[in-house]
Amino acid sequence: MPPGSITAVVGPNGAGKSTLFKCLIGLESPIQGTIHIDSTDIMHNPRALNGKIAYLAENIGVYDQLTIRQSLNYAASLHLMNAPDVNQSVQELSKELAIDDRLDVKLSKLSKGLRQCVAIAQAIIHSPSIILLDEPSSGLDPEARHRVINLFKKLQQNGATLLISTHLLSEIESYYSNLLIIKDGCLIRPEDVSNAQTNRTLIKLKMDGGQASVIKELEFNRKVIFQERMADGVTFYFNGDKEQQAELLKNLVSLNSTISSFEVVPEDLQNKYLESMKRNGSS
Amino acid sequence: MNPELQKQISSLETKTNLILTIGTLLGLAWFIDKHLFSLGLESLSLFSFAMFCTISGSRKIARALYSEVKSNVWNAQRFSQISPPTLLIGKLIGPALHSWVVGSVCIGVYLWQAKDKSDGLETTCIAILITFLCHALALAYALLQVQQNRIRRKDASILFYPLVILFVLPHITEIFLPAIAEIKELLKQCLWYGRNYNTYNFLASSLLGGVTFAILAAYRMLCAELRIKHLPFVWFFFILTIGVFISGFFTGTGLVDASRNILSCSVLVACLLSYFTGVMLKVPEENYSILKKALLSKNWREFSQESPLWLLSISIGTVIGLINTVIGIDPIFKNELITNLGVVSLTIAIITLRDLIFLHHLRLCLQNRASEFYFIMLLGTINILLPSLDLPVGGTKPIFSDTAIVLAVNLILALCFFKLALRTHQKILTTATQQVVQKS
Repeated sequence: MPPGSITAVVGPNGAGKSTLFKCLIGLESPIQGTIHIDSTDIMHNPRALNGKIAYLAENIGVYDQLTIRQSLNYAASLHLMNAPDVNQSVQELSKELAIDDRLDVKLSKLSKGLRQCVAIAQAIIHSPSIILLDEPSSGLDPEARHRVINLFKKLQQNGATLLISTHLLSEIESYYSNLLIIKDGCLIRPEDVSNAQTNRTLIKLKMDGGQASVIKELEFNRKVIFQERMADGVTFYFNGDKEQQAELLKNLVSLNSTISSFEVVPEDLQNKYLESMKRNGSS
Repeated sequence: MNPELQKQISSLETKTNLILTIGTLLGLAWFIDKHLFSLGLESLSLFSFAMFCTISGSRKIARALYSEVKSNVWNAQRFSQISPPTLLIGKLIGPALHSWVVGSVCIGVYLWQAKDKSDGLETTCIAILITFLCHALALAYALLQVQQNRIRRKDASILFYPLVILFVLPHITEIFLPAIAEIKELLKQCLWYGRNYNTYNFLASSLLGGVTFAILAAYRMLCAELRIKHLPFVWFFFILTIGVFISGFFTGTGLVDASRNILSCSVLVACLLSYFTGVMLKVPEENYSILKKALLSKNWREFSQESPLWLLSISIGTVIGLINTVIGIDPIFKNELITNLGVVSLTIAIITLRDLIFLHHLRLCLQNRASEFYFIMLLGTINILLPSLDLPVGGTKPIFSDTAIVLAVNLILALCFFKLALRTHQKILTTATQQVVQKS
């Protein structure tokens, strides 16, 4: 995982995302294999990186009896922070997450979304360089979600590496740099779902006649990967730039076929995810 | 200030409750003193201390930890940089702070009412030591429960434990039970290593030792939760200390006698603890993978750090048994006393090892109930049925009459069970790997 990146971990319920996170921070041991973070073997030295890593659990844990300020101070003291640093971090984070006006309110009196914000602040108060967040946006309203996203982007800009497990694909689409799809405890083809700019495009072709010759031409083209065949057309991935796309269309038109539409389908993360799951036998 | 303590104080309910409790207690004490002399305020205040501080405090300590686990804040502490001693002080004193304040009022009333102030002070010291012991044990027990609940294997059925005790009886408890009755008598005289001690001093010192080990147990449990690894010195000293304590009642002032008796008692203590921890505590499968890896790479440090308590106890028992055998081969060969066991102690250790390896092999390859059933069947056959047919396998009589043969037979059995357990574990790993490869 490259430093300074935001990696989204997605997968169906029970795929093993939370277990993976717990293994990464050494709260659970894998039956086989090793885990290295910053050249440190987590299984042999599980506490070595406690100061560098932050972890937000899926089911957030906060102390209902404490106020936000007391909670954040306690979280900071767990990481042995100095008093001046604590005050500064509390002020900055609470402002960033818009909870600065409620610092002396007990957590039991806060809504689920605000408690989630406090949990996020607690997790990252010690300025970690590696941040593992399990469903960080659950329970947040759109405004709070926007603030949290901005915070993640800011952390990334400051050099932190983020690993975020989520089901909200539309949300992470704007800021993720890598995507890991996990199913039944296994990683599904990570190379297919990187957010790096590639030439691959999804094309939907509709025809009124001469389908056989078009399909044959596409089958012979090494840059084409079929996605779906329909009665009146075909959907396929094309690995090439715009000029090569134009070349392909020109070739297809020259094949005595009646092409009624040649459409580049904007491919979102949801599609990438669903396609990967489909290829790996998801129901 | 200790952050854990600070947090516990901040989370406590309003101080009004505390002030009300203290006011009620003092008012009640005054009322009883003025109007109801016959009730005995002295014993009543001591009883209140036991209720409010000892019992309620222990309950609060355990419940505070359970609630932290339940509300998902425990993992944040596990995954922090806080040191175990800081956390220990916070967890031990924080939740019981109210109980201590109320308890000190009760003790104050008790001392004010005590007829003999010196006796009153002694009783207060004993009461405080017992309270510390209960609080530390409550924390250690709660931490153990948290660890055990995290392991996916189901708990054993209630019937399993008495059955194990019944079938372990022949070779350990038949030696231990008469000794317990004897210790009870000797405790009254406070005759220890040939010397007479003052009852109060002896009790206070024993309790102090108990409190130390209980706090150390809680500390080590906390370290395990925080994923800090230690060499098992505390467990080793615990076994040895109990050995020293028990053998003190059967030994005179002679140094050679004393050391031999201590070793014999320690083996029996190690075996009993091994059975207790092996049967009661669940061990995750991945723990055995780490152990196997450490064993193959001859990393003895990691092996001892990762060993479950049953394996640790029996390893200590076997080593002490070996030493005992070397120095103990003399006319006491057939002595059926708790002390002076000589080579018999090694045989008992090997029998314990045999049983527990078999139990864990069964737990690896079978469901809970089935593994319990086969284990009880084995114990019954080996320790009760076969010895009655004069076969040198288990039971007290064969051990004392044919020690060498019993030792050899059980060593072979233990090795066979070990081989079986290794094969089962390998099978589990291979199946798991194959499943992952297939999915990938």
